[in-house]
Order: sequence, then C-alpha cells, then structure tokens
Amino acid sequence: MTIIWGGLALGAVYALVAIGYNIVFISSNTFNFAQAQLMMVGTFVTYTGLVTFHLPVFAAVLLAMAAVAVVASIEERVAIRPVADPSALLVTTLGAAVLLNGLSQLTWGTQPLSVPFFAGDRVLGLLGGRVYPVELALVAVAIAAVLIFTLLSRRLVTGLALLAMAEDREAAMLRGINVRRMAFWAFAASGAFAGLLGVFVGPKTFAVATLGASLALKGFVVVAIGGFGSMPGTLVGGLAVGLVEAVAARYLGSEYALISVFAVLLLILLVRPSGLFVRAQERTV
Amino acid sequence: MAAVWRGLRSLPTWTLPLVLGLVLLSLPWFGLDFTLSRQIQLGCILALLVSGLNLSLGYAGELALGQVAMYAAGAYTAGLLATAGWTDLLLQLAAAGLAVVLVGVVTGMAGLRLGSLSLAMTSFFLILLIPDIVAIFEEHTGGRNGLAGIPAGTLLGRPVDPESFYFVVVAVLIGWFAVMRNIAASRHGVALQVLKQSPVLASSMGISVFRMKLLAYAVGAVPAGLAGVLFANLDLYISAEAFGFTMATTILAASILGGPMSVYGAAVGAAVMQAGPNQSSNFQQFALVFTGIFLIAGGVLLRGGLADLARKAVDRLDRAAGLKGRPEPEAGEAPDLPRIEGVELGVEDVSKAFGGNQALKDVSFRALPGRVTALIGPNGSGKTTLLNMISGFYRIDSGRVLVAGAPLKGAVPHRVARAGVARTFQTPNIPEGVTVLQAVASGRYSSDRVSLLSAVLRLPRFRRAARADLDEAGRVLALVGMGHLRDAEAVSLPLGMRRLLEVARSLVGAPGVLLLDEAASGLDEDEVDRLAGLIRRIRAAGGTVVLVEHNFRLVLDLADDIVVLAHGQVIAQGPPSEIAENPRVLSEYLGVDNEWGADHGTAAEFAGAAKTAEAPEEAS
Amino acid sequence: MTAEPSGEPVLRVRDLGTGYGDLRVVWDVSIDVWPGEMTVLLGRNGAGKTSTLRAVTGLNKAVAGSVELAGADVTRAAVHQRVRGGLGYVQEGKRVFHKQTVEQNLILGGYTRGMSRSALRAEAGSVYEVFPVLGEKRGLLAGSLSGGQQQMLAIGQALMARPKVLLLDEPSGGLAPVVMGEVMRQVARLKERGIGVLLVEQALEASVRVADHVVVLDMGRVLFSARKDEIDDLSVLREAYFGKVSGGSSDAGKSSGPT
Repeated sequence: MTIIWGGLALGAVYALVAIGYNIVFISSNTFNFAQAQLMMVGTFVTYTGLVTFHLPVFAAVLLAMAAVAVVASIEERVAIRPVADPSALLVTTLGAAVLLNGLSQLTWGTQPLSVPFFAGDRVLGLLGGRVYPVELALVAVAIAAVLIFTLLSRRLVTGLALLAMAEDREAAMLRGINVRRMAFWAFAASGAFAGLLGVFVGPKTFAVATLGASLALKGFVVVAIGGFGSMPGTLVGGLAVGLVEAVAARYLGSEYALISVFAVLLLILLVRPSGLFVRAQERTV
Repeated sequence: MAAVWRGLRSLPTWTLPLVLGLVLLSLPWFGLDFTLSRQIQLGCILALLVSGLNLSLGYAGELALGQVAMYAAGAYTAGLLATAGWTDLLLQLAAAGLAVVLVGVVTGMAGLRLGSLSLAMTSFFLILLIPDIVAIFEEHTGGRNGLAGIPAGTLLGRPVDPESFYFVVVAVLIGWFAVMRNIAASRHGVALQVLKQSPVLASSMGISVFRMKLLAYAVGAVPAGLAGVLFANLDLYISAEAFGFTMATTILAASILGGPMSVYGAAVGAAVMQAGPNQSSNFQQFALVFTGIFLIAGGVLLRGGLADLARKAVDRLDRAAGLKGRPEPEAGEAPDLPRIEGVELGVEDVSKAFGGNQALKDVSFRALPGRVTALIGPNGSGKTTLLNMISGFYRIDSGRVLVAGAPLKGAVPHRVARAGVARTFQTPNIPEGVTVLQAVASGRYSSDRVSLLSAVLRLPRFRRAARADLDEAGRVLALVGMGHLRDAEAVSLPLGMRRLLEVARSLVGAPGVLLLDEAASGLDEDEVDRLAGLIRRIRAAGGTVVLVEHNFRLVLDLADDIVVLAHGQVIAQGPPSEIAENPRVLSEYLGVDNEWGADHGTAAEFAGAAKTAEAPEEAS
Repeated sequence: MTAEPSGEPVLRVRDLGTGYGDLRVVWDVSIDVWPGEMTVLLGRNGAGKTSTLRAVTGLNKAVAGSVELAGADVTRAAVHQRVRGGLGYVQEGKRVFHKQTVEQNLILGGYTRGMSRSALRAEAGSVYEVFPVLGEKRGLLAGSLSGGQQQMLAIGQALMARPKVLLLDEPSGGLAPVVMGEVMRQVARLKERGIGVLLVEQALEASVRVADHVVVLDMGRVLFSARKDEIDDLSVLREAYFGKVSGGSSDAGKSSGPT
C-alpha cells in the first residue's frame, strides 16, 4: 500500500503537468514542451519564498504564481506568437524548456533544494500503508484541479470560447472572440497554475533543474493515454503512469521503471492513437 | 570581380566543401595542438550526428530526435567489440552501421506510424532510457560507472595512434558527406522534399510514403552510428552520461542553425555549436542557455538556417555577375507530343458515404483513350470525392475502378499512381527548394526505378535514368511553353505557371490516365487558352484525360464526353451538345429551378441563355 | 443608381481590393447594404465573391479601399471588433463547432453580448422559434446534424449576436432542394428583423427574386450593380452574367465546338 500511495502521488504530479499541457492545447492548439519547466521554476520560486525570504506560505504561493505567470507570458510572446509555421513550435518550445533549465541552474545551482511542506512531514498510516501529508495533498490537488477546470469550462461562456478556438480558430474569431488575447491569457493562466503547484510538487520531488525533462515526458505519456484536451483523461493517465512506475521500480528494479512507462506509452500509441478518452473523428474532406 | 565569380560558379558545387575537407585533413602538418585537434574531432562527430538529423528532419520532415540513441548504440557496439578483441575500425564502423540501421528500421516501423508530436516525444523518451538500458546490461556495459579501458583501435592490423586517428575521423566525415550529397542530389532527394511538402502529393506520384520515411529514418541513423564508433575510439571510455538530453538538444540546435534542409549546413551548424556553447562545458548552464536561445531564434527567425542565407547570397552574386538574367520565352513552335499510350478508365457503380452523408451513389462512367471526359456539377456534388476515390485516397464502399480493364479495388494511392494514373490538384502542390526542371522530373519517380544504393554510388544505371529524367522534363516543359523557366525556383512562379507546371509534372511520366482537378481555376484567359491547347494535344496524342472543371465554357469547348454529377449521382452524361440542352442539367448545375423559386418555365429560358452564350455578338 | 432608399447603408464597401499573398483577386469592389434590405452578390465560381466577404470581415487583409460598418470606418479593425460592431458572417460550408452541442453553439453565438450562460441559454429560444428542428436537437452534438440542420445552426449562431448586417456565403450550397427551400425562406425573412443582408449565391434567378439590390462580380470586378426595381427584365442581368461566360475566348470555341 505504501508503494501505491507513492505511485499515486507521483502520478498526481504527472497529471498536473498534463493539465498544464491541456490548458494550452485547448486554447491555442499548441503543445508547450516547456510546461514542466514552468512547474520546475514554480518549485524554485516557492523555495526562495519559503526558505530564503521566510515568507508566509500564502505569500510564497502568490509570489510563485506571479513569477511563473510572467515567465509563461514572456514565452508566449517570444517563442509562440511570432512563429508562423506550427511545426516549428515544437522546436521553439523545446528551446524555451532548455533555456529555462539553463537559467534555473544559473540562479539556483545544480543541487536539489528541499522545499518544506506547510502541513509538515510526519508520516501517516492510511489504509495499511505509510504516506506523507504532501502525497495526500498532491492527489487531492490533482482531483480538485480537474474538477474545477471541468466545471469552469461547463459554466463559463469563456470555457466554450476556448473549446471553440481549439476546434476552428477562424470560426471562433467570427463569433467575436479575441483569439490572440485569449491564447495569451490561457498561457499566463497555465503559468500561474504551474506556480501555484510549486508548493505541493516541490516537497515531493525537490526543486532541481533536472526535473523538467523527465516530468515533460511523463506528462506527455499522461496526455497520450488520456487523450489531448481531455481533463478527466489526465487524472486516469497520471495515476496509471505513477502506479506503473512505482510498481515496476519495486518489483522489477529501479532501472525498469522508465522502460515500463515507455512500454505503456508505445502500447497506447499503437492501439489507441488518440488516447482513451478522446473519440477518433472520422476524417472527411 | 564578376569574371572571377563566373569562373567559380562554373565549378561543380561540391568543389568548395571538398577543398575545405582536404584543408581540415591537412591541418596536422601545419601543427595542431592536442586541445584543438580534440575539438575538431568532436566537431566532426557532431557534424555526423547533425547530418543524420537533417536527412530525417530537413528532408523527410520527421522530428525524430533519436539520433542520440543511435549514437549510443554505435558507441557501445564499438566498445563491446573492442573489449572482445575486435579492434579493427573498419569492422567496427561496418558493424555499427548495420546495427543502427537495424535499430532504425525496428523503431522507425513503430514510431513513423505516429503523428509528428508523438514521434518527437517517443524518440526523446528513448534518450531518457539509455542509462537504464546500460544499467540493465551492467556486466557488459560497465553500468553507471561507464565502460573504461577500451583497447585502442587498429586499421588493417596496424595500431592507430591518437594523431592518426584524427585522419580517420575527418575521412569518415568527408566520406559521409559525399554519400549525403549524392542522396540529396538525386531523384530520391527530390522525392523526400516532395514528401515533406505533402504526403498526399508524394503518394499521388507513386512514392510510398511509409517506405520513404522509413528509408530516411534508417539511413539517417547510419552517420550517428559511425559517430558513436569514432567517439568510443577517441576517448576509449564511454558512459551513459555522454548520451543525454543536452546532447540531443545540441544536435537539434545545430541542425536548425545550419539549415535542416541542406547537406553542408550540418557541418557549419556543428562547428558553431562546438566552438560556442560546447566550449563552455565547465559551465554547462551557459551551454543550455545558448542552446535554448539558438532553438528559439532559429525556430522564429531562420526558417532555412544559415544554408538558406548562403543560398540567397549566392543568388544575389549570380545576378550581379549577370549569370541569371530575366529569362525570355523562346519563340517558335512547341515540340510535338509523341504518342501517349492512353488506357481506358472505368468507374462502375462506385458509392461512398462519410458517416451518414452519402457523398457518391452508384456512379458509373468510362473515360476512353484519345478523348477528354469532363466531370461537372455544382459545389459539393462529389466531383473531387470521386477523383480522390479513383486516386486511392478514399476507400471505396462499393463498386470498382478499373484501369485498362484491371480493377484497382483496395489500392493505395502510390500503387494507383504506379498503375499509370497521374493527377493534378485544385491547389497547386509544389515542393519548396527545387527548380522547375527538378519539380517536373520528379513526376518520373515511378517510371525507370533506381535504387538508393545506385544513386549513392552514382552507378551507370543511375546516370542513365538521371539523364533521361532531365531530357524528358525539358521536353515537356518546352511543350507547355515554360522551357525558359527551367532553372527558376518552382514555388516562386505565379499561380498560372504553377498549374501548368503541375500538368507538365503529371505528363512527364507518360501516364495512361491523366486526372486534372480544376486545372483552369485561377488562370487568366491567355493561360486558359494555353491549357486548352495543351489538353487538345494530349488528346490528339492518344492520352486519356479526365477533367474536373467549373468553367462551363471550357468544358463545352473541350470535352468529348460530359458526366454531370449532382448530390453524388450522375444525372446526365453525353456529348456537349446534348448536355447543353438538357433541362435537368441546367436546373441543377445553374441553380435555376428549385423548391424556393419553383418555376419550370425558366429552364427553357436558361437553355436559351446558354445558346446565346455560343454567339457572343448577340449578347453584347 | 437612382432612387436609393432613405437613410444610410449599414454596410458601405468602397473600392475594395484584396488577395492572397502576391496574388490579387479582387479590384475596386463597391457594395452597399441597407438595414432591412437584401443585397445579392452574384458571380461564377472564382469570381471573387468569397474573397470579398473575407476582406469585409477582416479575415483577409484589404489592400485597397474601405469598409464602413454602421457609419464607423472598420477597414483596419480586427475581426472580433467588427463582429462586436454588428457584423455577422455565415461562412460557406456550414462551419459550426462540431464537437459542441447545438445549444452550446448558440450560446457561443451570443459571446459578444457579455451575458451569462443561463441568460444566453434562454435567448437561444428565439432561434428555436425560427428553426424548430434545432430546439428538438438542442442537446445533440452539432457534428451529428444533417447538412441542412447545420446550415440552420450556423445562421442561428450568427443571429444570437444580434447583428446589424449579416453576410451569408452560399447558404444553399450542397443542400437537397427541399432543405434548401426551408433555409432560403428563413433567409428571406431576416429582412423583417431590420437586419441588412448580403447574400452570396451562384444561382441567379432564385436569389434575385428575394433581393432588393443586385451586384454581379466577374474576374474580381463589379460587372453590374443596380436596385432590383430598376431591372425591368432579367435578361439584362442574364446577359451580364452569361454573356461574359462565353464572350471571354472565342477562338477556343471555334476549334472544337460541340458537334
């Protein structure tokens, strides 16, 4: 059970990356490779707020949200908006990811920094397993995030507008939607979201500059399983990846953890290329 | 100045790279210290990796980032062979080349079925797996400690000291670039560019999209494998750390910087990355920052990389030196079209539904050699759908299509093309970065097949086919009156010229059936006349022409048989004189008579209007 | 042009030119649309009708001329600003959001009105009155509707924004005659709401019947423009429309006419 708790918490982290991918994907049909790096910057800023400046928790969270939202906005302006060819976006967002990796290492060094969790780190016994408070919090946050985003997209006209943009940008413009501004704010919002998560993710993974690459890929696996744009899909995909990784590491050895996730990815891509939660559309011309 | 430039330009384009390569080879005689020598060797290794990526990314348009995995596979192949006593470098290079082609084919078969994003991510994932795979085979690979104490390489029984190894590295680089250049400057290189532009176009020209992509991916793995062998023998130590995320992004940045769709850009990009960011290896953070900036700037600003800038500069110098004037159309009659062996196209009871929408229902018609068969009908009546079904882009629900009496049922587009069905597209579809002549010659891909190997080795068979390609293409260009434009860049032509270019491209392979999809739309009257003249000559030469067209006048002028579609069904077929009088055709096609303005008298009026159309004097 | 209706046109297009990249496809096109009246824009395929509409809405850049919407110059305005200013455009090909329900499509149609989702849902009732079949299918995905129903939805979506002027690009295209009748009847009634309608059609006679003004485009230029009551005899129009069709190239006709 301890393994399952650990796996679920890890899966929640991946799901949260995937939610960030989805926010941007839904609003601008762009895959932001640097999303995981934004979350990484969030953990660093949270560390700075909590440990270096001794800020209260809510102030540190606000600082992280603001800082990462600004970083994400800059990325949108510099690496997304000026790109004419959509296939070049993969290159520019990858560049943004590499750049953020480098800048974080310059600012915070290469050693992992331990981010304290505000609810303490006393091990709890739950359902026959041992679990840290932060692990429970991560699972709760992931579920809450999916619920909130699903609810918002159902309740707000803006939610519909975002979905419309993803489906047909030109038709969305003709409904009076300011497509560029909307895409920009969705990017900024995904940054603020990544900043907010720093306080939850940092204590589990440490703030470390190598976090980005592996989180980015795991987040992608989650989206591949759940389907692009599907919020409930991220939850299922995230938890599945976390569990596969934890169980494989425990029973096969740590060097098999990633390979098992990779095998799951290949299986999903070859069997259900559009993911489990998105129905493949028949193409008509 | 201009004379010097003209003299330089008369040399083959590979002269300059070859000279630079020989200079690089001769550097040790001018004194080369250890550090610089090592940097150059690492730069050469990087250039090999980048060149492989260029083949799959630049030419085939696949963002497959597995170069590093192939690099690792090559390095460990060499390391394991050497520790087992096989130290000969030639053997190692050959073994690594074979190993990575194998890995490339296996992973490519799976990966290339995915979308571009999925391929990029899975190939990135492969890199993340390298340390784990190395750890799993710890007793052979040394696991996380790395594989140390690799015996130095030998060449034909003689030990190779570090100074001589320099020559091996540079020689492999020069050798690979010769191979790469021979691929790029062959019909396979153009085919890859076509594929990148549009898989639909590629398959309509008889190119198997999947096999071509796999070929590019597997051949692109070879230089990475060779680079791995060189790297293992350079340091005589390998560990998984050398094959990480940073290396992958460095390769990508170098490719973007040098220009992914270029042969020698790889060397330039690699040199810049090696001399710049990779120098600051003590400060890996700075390397990351620079790589990141290169990637963003490259993606935003430099669409074709430095290679593109170089091409433009050469172009400007050419014009300054008077090498490229504004070409004038040559006078004189266009050459005669030799006989075309047209074959019969039969469409029998073809039906197709998309979801609940019945796009075509029991459509039958025949197109005969030496005749122009026109398909007309209002918007959405199913004309283009029908054309796409003949070409094999859509599966046929029921019924069948026959070419020269043989059914095509279930055939994929490149097989239909190879059966002799050529076509043009509503929106001209022309690859970037090729000349008019090359674009037309690419239409011969499926006739006179030539293997990649004979292209690389420039065998006589390749030379013969290449010469025939150019001769035929030149002849057809003259035929459409575009002979003077043969060296112009194809995509920069105005719309009318691009349409004629498409017709020339589909004609150059001497197709049994020629499908023209709205070839006249967007043309001015002169161009329409030229197109009409061309179609008449194709007919006179015995070709089978199927014309999908909106321009009613052109159809009445040109067609021998007209098939009228409405709501996915054939509502009339016959010679133009009958069709022009058919009241149902007038009401459906010209939209005269329908529910909301029902007035059956108008059909006759409109038939009158169509008649006056034949006598313009009356109308004016 | 004599006897123009009183009042100002709600849409005034002057000397408009547009194209794609270097390719110019429309020159000097001027069109007026008055409130509560219908202007029909006719022309063959490729005459520049859709390109004109795209330039009027701002989807394509106007390289020359001006567009005035309800008295305000919008030539340089972004698409969404023109929509907010009262311009509605129903594109060719029934472009509704396939992955959203009928009701969600309609709610999105009212995006510019800044109302809550529930208020817009109530507002959608007015569209169901015009097209009852949409009310029956309000919960279904728009992608599952038939072609005719999608066209009705596209028009209903545009109506939700309460447009002052509505551009309709071949609303009858690709529809079976019976469905086409239903759609076109409702289009003809849009005038009763005081909306100015600019209707693009290929079919001459039927669209002229419901028009107040007729503009014919050919080869990207205005060939003919008049109030309908000035046209006593449709044959004038027919000549303008068809005469050009054949008049273009007479030498091509000689060599192989129909036999």
